[in-house]
Parts: sequence; structure tokens; C-alpha cells
Amino acid sequence: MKRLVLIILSIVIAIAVFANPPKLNVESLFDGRFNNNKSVTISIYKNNGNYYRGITVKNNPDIIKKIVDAIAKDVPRASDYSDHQGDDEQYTSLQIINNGETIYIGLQRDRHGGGFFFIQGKEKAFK
Amino acid sequence: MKYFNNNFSLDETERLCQLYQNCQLSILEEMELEYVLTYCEFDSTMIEETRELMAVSRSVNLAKAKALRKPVWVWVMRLTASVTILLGTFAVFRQINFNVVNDDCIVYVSGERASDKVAHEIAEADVVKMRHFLQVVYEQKATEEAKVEQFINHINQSK
Repeated sequence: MKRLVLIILSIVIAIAVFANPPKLNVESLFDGRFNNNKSVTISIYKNNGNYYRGITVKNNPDIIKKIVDAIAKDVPRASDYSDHQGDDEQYTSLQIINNGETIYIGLQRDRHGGGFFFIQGKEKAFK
Repeated sequence: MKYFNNNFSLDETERLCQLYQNCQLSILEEMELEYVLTYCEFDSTMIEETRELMAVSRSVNLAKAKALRKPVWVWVMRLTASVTILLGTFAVFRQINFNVVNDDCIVYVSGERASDKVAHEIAEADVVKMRHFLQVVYEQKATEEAKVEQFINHINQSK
């Protein structure tokens, strides 16, 4: 009986730890490439099982373009996608499901090369 | 095992059988007697009884030997358990990322890392901004869906 319980437990652990990380293109934006950039604020924050990463850009259209290009590569995987162009701002939003959890990706940009980009979801979605 | 002479008389053979039944033979002698009885041509009540007793004890020993031998499925279960435990352990170590960020908050402002206190303030403000963003997007979607529904209703009514 003990042996059977041990086998079942090992199988469950093995299955659990084989959950796949999402490997999103937008995640590569947080590889440290912008850490020393003066027009960027980068936040990485874990709290209560939630994992948040954000980039705030001021007057840097090149970085905004890199973010837009990364988002475009992840759009095919999105279960929900919207892109809304207002008078002054554009809102791009994606939802991607991974490991049974939803990852929210958003980009709010203005006409002057500024923007606010984030990736947010439960930690389990990124494991 | 000492060499055994098969040339026993009937009396000698029966005497040996009697000693066997009285448990006066050593194990080695019992084995030798069994060998003799297998090939001897004599037949008597005593010899038959002894042969039967030896057959019984042999089947008992065989049953014990079989009981000691574990069935195949037990070995399969043991092997499966070992392999599963090894795989599980390997999988756990594979998933442990030793480069993981241990801090729960890291913020870089204008190229410099912020202190913990400032980092938490900025990160929490960003989370509020994120929630506002999601709310705005939700409202945009609701507005667009309402417009589409209104448009479709208008088309249907004008038909």
C-alpha cells in the first residue's frame, strides 16, 4: 500500500513539474536589455501568487516599436486580442492561456514615443 | 555427498526407511536415501510409505520455495516505483531554476536600480495603472460590441 502511494505521488509530481513555461516573445523584453536605458522604467513584481512585469517608456519610438513587434509575434497564440486606436492613445491587449491560467499582455502608447507595457498573470502560468 | 552403494538388501532398505520415519537420519542421509528409493527395485509397505512421505516433504519444500519466490508483478511494481521516483526527482531538479529572481520586487528607473522601498512603491503604482488599463479595454470592448449589436438590429429592422 505504501509502495502504491509512493508511486502515485511520484507520478503526480512528475506530471506537475513537466508543466511548460509559455516562452512568449514579449518576455524577451525583460532580459535586461533596457535595464540601463534612461528613457525606461522597468518593474518586476511578485505578490500573492501574481507575477507582474512592466515597462514604461518616455519619448523612445524605437523601444515602442520593439514592443509592438514582440506583441505581434505572440498575437497568433492569443485567445483574446484587441487593438483600439483612440484620438490620443492606442490600446493593444492580448490574453494567452498557459498551464490553465490567463496571461494578460497590454500596451498603451501615445503619439510621442511613450507608452506603458505590461505582462501579468498567476505565477503558475509562467512555470 | 558421499558415494552411495545401491546394493542394499530389502531388509537394509526397510531399516533405512524405518530410521527415516523415526527422524534418525541426517539431512544428507535422507537425501541419499531418497536417491536410493528412486532407483531401487524393491517394493514393500515400509518403502512405499517412506516414498510417500518423501514426496509429501518434497512438495512442502517446493511450496515453500515457490512462496519465497515473489510473483513477477511484484518485481514489475518495484521496477516501476524505482523508475517513477527517479523520473520525478529528475523532473523536479530540471524545473528548479537556480537563476530565478529571489527578490519579489525589482525596479530599474532611468537605468539605475531602485531601492526596495522605492521599487515597491513604483511597482504597486504600475499594478494600479495595469488594472486601469484592463478596465479601459473592457469598456472599449463593451462599447464596440454594443455598437455592433445596434448596427445589426438597425439592419434587421430596415429589411
